[in-house]
Amino acid sequence: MKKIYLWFTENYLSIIVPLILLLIWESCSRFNLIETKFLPSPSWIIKEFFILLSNGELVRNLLISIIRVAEGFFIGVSLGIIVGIQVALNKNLQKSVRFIFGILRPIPVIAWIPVLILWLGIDESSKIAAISIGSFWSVLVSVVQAIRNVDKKYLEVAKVLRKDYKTTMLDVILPSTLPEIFTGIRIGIDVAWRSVIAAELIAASAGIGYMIMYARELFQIDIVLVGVFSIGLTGIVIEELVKMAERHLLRWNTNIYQEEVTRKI
Amino acid sequence: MKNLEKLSLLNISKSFFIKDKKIDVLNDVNLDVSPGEFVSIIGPSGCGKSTLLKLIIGLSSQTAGSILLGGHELQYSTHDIGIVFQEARLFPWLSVYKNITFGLENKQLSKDDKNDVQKHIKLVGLESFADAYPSQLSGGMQQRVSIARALISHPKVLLLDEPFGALDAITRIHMQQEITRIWQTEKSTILLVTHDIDEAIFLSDRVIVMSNRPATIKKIIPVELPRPRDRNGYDFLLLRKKIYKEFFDEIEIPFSFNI
Repeated sequence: MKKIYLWFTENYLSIIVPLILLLIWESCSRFNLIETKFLPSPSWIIKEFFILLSNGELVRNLLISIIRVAEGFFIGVSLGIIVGIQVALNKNLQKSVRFIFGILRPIPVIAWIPVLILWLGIDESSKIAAISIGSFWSVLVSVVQAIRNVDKKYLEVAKVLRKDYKTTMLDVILPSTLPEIFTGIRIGIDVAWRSVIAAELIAASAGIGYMIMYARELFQIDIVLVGVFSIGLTGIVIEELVKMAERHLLRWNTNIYQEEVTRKI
Repeated sequence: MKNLEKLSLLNISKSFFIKDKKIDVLNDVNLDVSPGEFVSIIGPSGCGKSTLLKLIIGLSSQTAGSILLGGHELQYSTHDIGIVFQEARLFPWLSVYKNITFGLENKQLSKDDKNDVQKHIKLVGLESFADAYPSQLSGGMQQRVSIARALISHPKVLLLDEPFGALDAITRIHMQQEITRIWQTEKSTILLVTHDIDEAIFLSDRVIVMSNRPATIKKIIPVELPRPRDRNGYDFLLLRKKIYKEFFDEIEIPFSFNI
């Protein structure tokens, strides 16, 4: 109880300000200051949210999108790490791909979607490919950067202990780059989640993006808004999950988990 | 029990190139270190002491000369040679225990290995910290882990590259006593590079004084004091004065002895 109280005294503004804004919005709708046909009141949206939650529509569409993200993200991250390591360690490869990557990397995923639809059709594979491309680049960049920044002193330790290439790679380079790779993964999952929505908005027969587009065609603004906000909510949940994984994997890294480490002693 | 062998440095020279300009770092260094001997190398900063250790451990290669162990070209195996750097250089993602076992050749530890690791953790006095992460240890404790990691493969020769240079004065004295004890238990040949004259006298059988760049051996001073050594004993101070003279003119020496 005391803990909650302490937390609240620290963070009350983060709670109260959104509540006040919602209250203003709600009263504006009640007093007909805004057209509810275009912007329904918060209470209406929340009611609609619970309807969609109880009839399973929302959960079903969200799950479809999340599974797509999981698949595409897994492919993108794996490729990003593998290619990143190769590029970082091989000077010739680095030179060969410099311009190719330089041109491809800034292309937003959404620009690839029409291409992917033509190549792969409008079913799962085009969406998964789009997500993979999105997360691939952010992971790739952070892996290359991380390996370049590996402390030479660690490499010298591996060398004087006569470790072979494989051991040095897996037991020294990889763990020492993990904090930076995780930064890439965090950005990557963010991009992946945005990409799936973009792909579904353009062409899909299920998923949260599809739900939004379909509701728009029927002019169900409340469903559109429920969809839009649940994208945000899911984003927060995913971010927290990644943070949890990071804390677990990098518990040695005092930079991200200061209190826990000192408390343990 | 390991077979200790004589370490010989024969006509070692080393030059670097900085923008096409040749810089001689080491010039014709010759040194024999007897099996089980504790030898310190001191010299002006930047004279190439650490470069010499880098050559011996194989992180760099000499321009000329050869390094022999027991009469044969030194093989770069952890059973022959180990090093402790100035910074502990522990892997922050591994516990103390795992940092030490990283010094072993195999990842799979046999029962003997495990016993040996426990023995070394005890040797460096970190029994209750085996599962701690390096960030939870003090500088002195980290350096102990680093020593245990170097010793776990039982090298015949242990190189110490200013290992206590980054520690505070009290911890440093403590570690010097520790390293004496460890040397007496482990019976390795030890080659220490330091800039601390007291440390060199306190620890070694012989003190090698290097000249300025290009470094060569200027003087070899045997330390024939009984152990444990008294840092304030007359003979100790006399030796210290003698070594100070190698670095400063008579007039600059800021102390005198009245017995």
